[in-house]
Amino acid sequence: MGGLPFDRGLTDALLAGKIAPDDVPDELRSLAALIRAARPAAALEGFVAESDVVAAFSAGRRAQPSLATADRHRRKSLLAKALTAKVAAVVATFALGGAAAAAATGSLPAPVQSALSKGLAHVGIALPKPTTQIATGSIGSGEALIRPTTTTTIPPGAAYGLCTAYGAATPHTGTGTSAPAAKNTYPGLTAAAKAAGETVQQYCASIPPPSGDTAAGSPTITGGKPGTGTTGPPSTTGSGTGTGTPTGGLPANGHGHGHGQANGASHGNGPNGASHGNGNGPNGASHGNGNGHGNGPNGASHGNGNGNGPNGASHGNGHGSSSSHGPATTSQGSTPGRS
Amino acid sequence: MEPSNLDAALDAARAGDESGFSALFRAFHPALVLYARRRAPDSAEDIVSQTWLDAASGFATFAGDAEDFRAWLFTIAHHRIADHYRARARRPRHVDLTEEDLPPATEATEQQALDTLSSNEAVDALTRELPPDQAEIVLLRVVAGLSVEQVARVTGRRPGTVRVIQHRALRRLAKIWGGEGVTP
Repeated sequence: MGGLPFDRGLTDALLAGKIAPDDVPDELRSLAALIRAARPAAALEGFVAESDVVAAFSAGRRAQPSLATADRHRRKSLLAKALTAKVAAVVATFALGGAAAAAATGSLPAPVQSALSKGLAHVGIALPKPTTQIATGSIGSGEALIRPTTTTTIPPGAAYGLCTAYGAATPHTGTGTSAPAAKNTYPGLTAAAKAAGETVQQYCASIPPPSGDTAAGSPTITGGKPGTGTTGPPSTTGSGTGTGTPTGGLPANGHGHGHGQANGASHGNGPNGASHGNGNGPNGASHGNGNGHGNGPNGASHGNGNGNGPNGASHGNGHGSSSSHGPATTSQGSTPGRS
Repeated sequence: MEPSNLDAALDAARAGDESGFSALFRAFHPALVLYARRRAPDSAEDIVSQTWLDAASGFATFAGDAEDFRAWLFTIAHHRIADHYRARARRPRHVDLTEEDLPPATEATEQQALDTLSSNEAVDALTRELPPDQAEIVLLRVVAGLSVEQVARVTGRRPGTVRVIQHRALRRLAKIWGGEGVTP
């Protein structure tokens, strides 16, 4: 049985009805005729009215914009988006430019300035570091969060708080903040003193304590009442000076507690010859916190000063400690800062 | 209608000319009717009308020439038929068909094929003995007038697969309609 040459050309021609029955092998003649007959007649109608379809076509065009129209709309939309992006970029450039200028002049808030300075240092851009140290080892200052102002006038109460905190930082000779560091920490105070033609110490000496705040910032605890111990009254000066000077040093586990009230009054309560002093100034000037702690036979004392000014002036926290061994007194200061 | 005329009708329809879409309708409607009748005899009218309404209302989204429009139209019909059979498969059947319900078998002869068969009867005779996949390919190629590539797009098959199926269909038809044997 011979096979028919059913190649691709013949197949396509047959199915497309493009080959006449007479032009195909006899075996395929009937099939070719059937396929031709199966092709749709040109005038075949029914099932759906042409008018209905055309009406649907017109309604569809009204309801849905053509591709060309949609294309135009899309182009307009893209153009609008592009313009919006450009405007945003320009605004951002100016904004960032301003920020960059602020960073370059070091006038950003200290935390931001510090972060920018550190971050950009990695890519070779040098920016000034914040003028106020945030790191430990220096006295914190409320000024760290206060923008430098053009005026050098400091409200008396705030100045007193600043001076208290400043004073707490400078006496120490140990690991605490040195005077220059403290100076850098109090640019406002330094500027105010400079404007007055004085040193900071001179300036601070002229700042009276706010009224009703006699204990503010510098409660002087003359001694917790000795309890059973015989440790001498530690003369603990607040404001973190930590100048406890136990005169005793006899065996006792002394623990005193002095608390300065809001009006500056303070009391010491040390059953064992230690004292803890705490002074509060409520009038926006300062918050002094003296903490003296005498402990044990060696009469170690611990002083803690805290100056707090609610008027945005300063918040200083000084911590000083001294320890004495017998009659001899050595002093060691440390000033963890907090701003 | 010649392809060039169909392209002109298509352009006119794109411009909003209703007569352009009417020309497309008249050109493709007969093939669509034949195709739907064979694929879904009991729902051909619904399928055809819905296919045209879909094509008319969604014409703004169509892009291409007249041959693309042909393929697009039969793609819509193909999906409509698939929907029809899916819906029918979910429908519970309570009535079994009897001998009387079935249409009489056509004793088609060569002469009838040549002289007396209508398009509809010819389509029936051509596809009745074919498995569904082969019948669909033959319908799309013969009735809809689509190319292998277009059929592949409509049915979601690869062109090579379409060629294999249509070849099997022709071998079978040649055997039925007089061929002694067909070489692959």
